[in-house]
Amino acid sequence: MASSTETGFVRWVLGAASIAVCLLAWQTASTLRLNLGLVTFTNVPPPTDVLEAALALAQSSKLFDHVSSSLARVSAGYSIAAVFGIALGLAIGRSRRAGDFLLPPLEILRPIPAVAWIPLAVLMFPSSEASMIYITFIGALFPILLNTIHGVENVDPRLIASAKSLGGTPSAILREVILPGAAPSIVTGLAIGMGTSWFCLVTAEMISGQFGIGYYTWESYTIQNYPDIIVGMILIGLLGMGSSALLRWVGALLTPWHTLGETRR
Amino acid sequence: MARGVYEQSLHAFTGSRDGSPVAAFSAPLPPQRLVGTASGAPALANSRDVSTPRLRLDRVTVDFGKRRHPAVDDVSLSIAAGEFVALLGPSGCGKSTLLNVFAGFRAPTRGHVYLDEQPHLGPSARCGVVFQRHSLFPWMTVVENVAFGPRRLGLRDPLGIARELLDLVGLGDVSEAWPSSLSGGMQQRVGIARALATKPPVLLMDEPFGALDAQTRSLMQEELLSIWDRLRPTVVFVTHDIEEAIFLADRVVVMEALPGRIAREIQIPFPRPRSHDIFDQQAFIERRREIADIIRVEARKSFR
Repeated sequence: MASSTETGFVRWVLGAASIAVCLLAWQTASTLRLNLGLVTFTNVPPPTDVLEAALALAQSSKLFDHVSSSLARVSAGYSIAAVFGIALGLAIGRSRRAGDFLLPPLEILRPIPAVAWIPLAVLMFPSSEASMIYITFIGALFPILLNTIHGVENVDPRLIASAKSLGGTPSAILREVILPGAAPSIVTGLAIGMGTSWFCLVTAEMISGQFGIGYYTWESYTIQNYPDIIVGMILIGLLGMGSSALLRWVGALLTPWHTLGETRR
Repeated sequence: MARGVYEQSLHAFTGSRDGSPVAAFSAPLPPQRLVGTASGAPALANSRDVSTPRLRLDRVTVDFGKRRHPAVDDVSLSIAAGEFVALLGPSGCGKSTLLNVFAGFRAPTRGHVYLDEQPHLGPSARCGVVFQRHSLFPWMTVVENVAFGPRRLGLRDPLGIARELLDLVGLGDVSEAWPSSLSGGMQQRVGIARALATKPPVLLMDEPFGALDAQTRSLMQEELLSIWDRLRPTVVFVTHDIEEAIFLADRVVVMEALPGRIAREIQIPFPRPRSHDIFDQQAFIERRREIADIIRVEARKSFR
């Protein structure tokens, strides 16, 4: 009869063992320069080299430059997208007129992947910095916008009726009923937008960056610093994971009633 | 000036806790002072006598335009201040539509609605509303929900008013809970407290106990009567339950469907306070049979 902590421990050990096996397989394949025909490990650096490169990067001043410029771009593009996405979403979700006027151009732009914007963005914006911020903005905008519209449209009409019969003015209803009512959906949009924002940034940096994690990864490839490619990949993953965790945390803080409902379920 | 008026009614409200009817709500005393601030005619509001209807429908028709018959067809109805009226009828008779007209959620296609003889044009804090399923704001705690109305109206100490009302409905101990953590009966009691928190002269209830189990329902009916007895708001109570209507109301307005019209109005003479014992009285059973017969006849008529 296993206790719950014991089961937890067993699961943890199994997970760690699985990762260890993967790392060992990678190490073996790389050191043996295994060539499987379809895929070859000839040029893949082993984990030990990657670790070495990661430590070297951690000690150099370049790490801060790369990470901070990527973070700055994502925060700029993502924040603008959040403001525009939520504001437009509230307007479109609340007013049929606003929807009829604002939605058609957005519907036309929506199916175009943000990455497809890169060449045009480079032409449109004089500074490559602005063009990259624009790409992250486009990447995050649509998930945030669509989830906000969805959230606003699905606010229970009885709640709005109740607020009216309690003396709620339109602006009070927007602030105290529509916005919190749509909040769980908006938070979902923000989380999806964060993911697409990072994805678009890294791609944009590979093409037109001077600093940044995406640029670092691509540069490592062009100057044949293969271990650094994998260090870059891991950094991208960590940054994306970190910002998603931050967002989930903020989202839970902003919608305590919602998370309560989820934990009870 | 407005603040003085609110304070007055607030004092009246506090006074209610010793069990006496409250001036702000009761019929013979100056009707709802809030009305004065909202309509801008306090002198007029105060000089009214009992015979002036609090709510009045004048030949109201509501036509959704989709069906052959209007949902509500040429209905006129007067409700006195402090009166408890039940709108009773089978589903589709337009009783909920009528309640939405009273609440100002729906404008009549033809006809007029008056609150204290002033045209009643849209939802306001003068008509509190309680729906069948609770409509509490999930993102506000219980006490914040009840305080919402007083806060919007700029009353002094909204949280204090809210706590007082929660005590009144016996839920003072769950004021910091989220609505989702309460039982259905508790949620409806919070809903009633919230609707009363703006001290509305009128309380509109749309099958408020329809989703509750039979035991909770019967307790809630007694609870509602005890609240009504203390505060004496004018109540319009929509239900399809004949016994509930007779037990609660001063007057039962029986409606017919297709088109929605008033079939008959029946005065309920039982003295108050009432308890569920009256269910066994001969007079109760006769009233119930009388109403059931009307509904059956009307249902058959519209069935044709």
